[in-house]
Amino acid sequence: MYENYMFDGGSYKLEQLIDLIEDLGGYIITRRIFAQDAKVTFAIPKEDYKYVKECATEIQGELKDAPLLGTEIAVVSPTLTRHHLPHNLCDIAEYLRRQGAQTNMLGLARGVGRRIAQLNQREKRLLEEHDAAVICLGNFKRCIEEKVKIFSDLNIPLVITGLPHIESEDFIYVEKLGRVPYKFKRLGEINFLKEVANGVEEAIKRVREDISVNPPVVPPFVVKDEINNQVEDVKYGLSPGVLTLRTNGVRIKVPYHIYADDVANVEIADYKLSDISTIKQSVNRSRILVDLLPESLVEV
Amino acid sequence: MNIYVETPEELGSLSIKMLIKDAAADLNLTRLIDEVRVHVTLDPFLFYISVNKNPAPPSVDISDFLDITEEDDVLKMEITDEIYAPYLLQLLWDKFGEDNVNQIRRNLLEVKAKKDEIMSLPVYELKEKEIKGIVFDLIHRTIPVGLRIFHKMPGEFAYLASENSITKENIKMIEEALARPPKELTIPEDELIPKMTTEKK
Repeated sequence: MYENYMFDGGSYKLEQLIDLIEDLGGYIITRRIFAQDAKVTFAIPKEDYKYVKECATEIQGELKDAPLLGTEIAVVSPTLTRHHLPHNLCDIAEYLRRQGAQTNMLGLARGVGRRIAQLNQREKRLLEEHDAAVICLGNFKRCIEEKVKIFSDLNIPLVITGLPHIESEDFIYVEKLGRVPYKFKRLGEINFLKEVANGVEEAIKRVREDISVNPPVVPPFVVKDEINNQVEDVKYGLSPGVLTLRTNGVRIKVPYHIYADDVANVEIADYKLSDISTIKQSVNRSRILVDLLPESLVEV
Repeated sequence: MNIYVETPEELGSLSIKMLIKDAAADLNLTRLIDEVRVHVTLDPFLFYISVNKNPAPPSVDISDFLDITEEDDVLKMEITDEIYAPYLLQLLWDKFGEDNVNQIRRNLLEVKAKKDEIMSLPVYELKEKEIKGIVFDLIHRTIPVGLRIFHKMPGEFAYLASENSITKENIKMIEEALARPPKELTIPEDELIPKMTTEKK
């Protein structure tokens, strides 16, 4: 069982840590070095944590849990107007990124009002490409209760934020976080962000539990490594995070119509990637989405 | 600045009150506004807002932001407070024509006019125009973005907004509600300000 961690420290002797992670059979997910500072996210077998911890302490860095590493979360605002953005949504997205998640912010075209609020098919498909969605709603109980109905068709876990207290079994609800006209600045407001992150963590935990019942042949970070090694042009992609990990696959930010065949022919163990996954075109800028199939569906 | 908010949910009222407070502080309006009143009904969904300006806005004289020196038949004017520059230019163009107003530098103008004519320019209106713009900004920041149908109510800055068409019954209902004096909120503002809790190690 792999666990995700984040190393924060100096770049001096960083190679020692990288070598150790690779020797232990772990995977480096991101490696960012800015002058003397380094930030590395990685996955290692849970039982080997103590060795990595020792090494990190030796090179004077610190290890943090990254529970949301390898996930892609949508942070959804009812509109793109100044009533809703940037304010607390940017704070939420930033805090989730610090927990290791890759976040995409999405402003709905017609998410305003109570009666007139809508979620169109394109937005629905776009949201469903993510592992979970954080939806930020407003201040009135009556309005929130009616508005969540438009999100009820989504088949991803939802974390909804709003001001009043609401109880629901369909989604995780974080209260006291309604429409705020400023970026968070008070000391206690960090607790709101922690609550949202905990909600997302719980949602992702459920997704991972579902996947673990019938897991894919190889974990997503192996697929990511292999695509990186075998599809040369991915290295030169200009998008931030060209290869983005999801709980059950990878998003590759290169055009589908040019690179879909190359990605399908990537060899992993004794399989081609197309044998162990479905490769489809994303709604978001025609990028490539790789969804790993559960082991039971893969032909031996 | 007094803010009165009445909605069916008291926590919602408090949040709108704080939202107006923050927006007014952001726009530097707190001293210019006397009272803001908001009345919301959720069934039907109506949002009424009215803003009463402070009756005594700070008076401004043209000499407060303009240094004038006379040279032959031309006036040389230096704008000392640049906030007024765009309004003043437009005003001078309108009154003396673009040919007679020469902008030498960003804040230095040459105008073919008499000093008395310049001193009698309606500067008070400039300030008013600016204040009006900012008050409308406050109103638009407060009204939820989904409520796109507006109805002008009696008063300089008073609007009723809804996501449905506004009927005469709706207007009557709001007018009746506004005839009553506004209620004070029973929840303290601290309710929405989170307290820092220390984590146990």
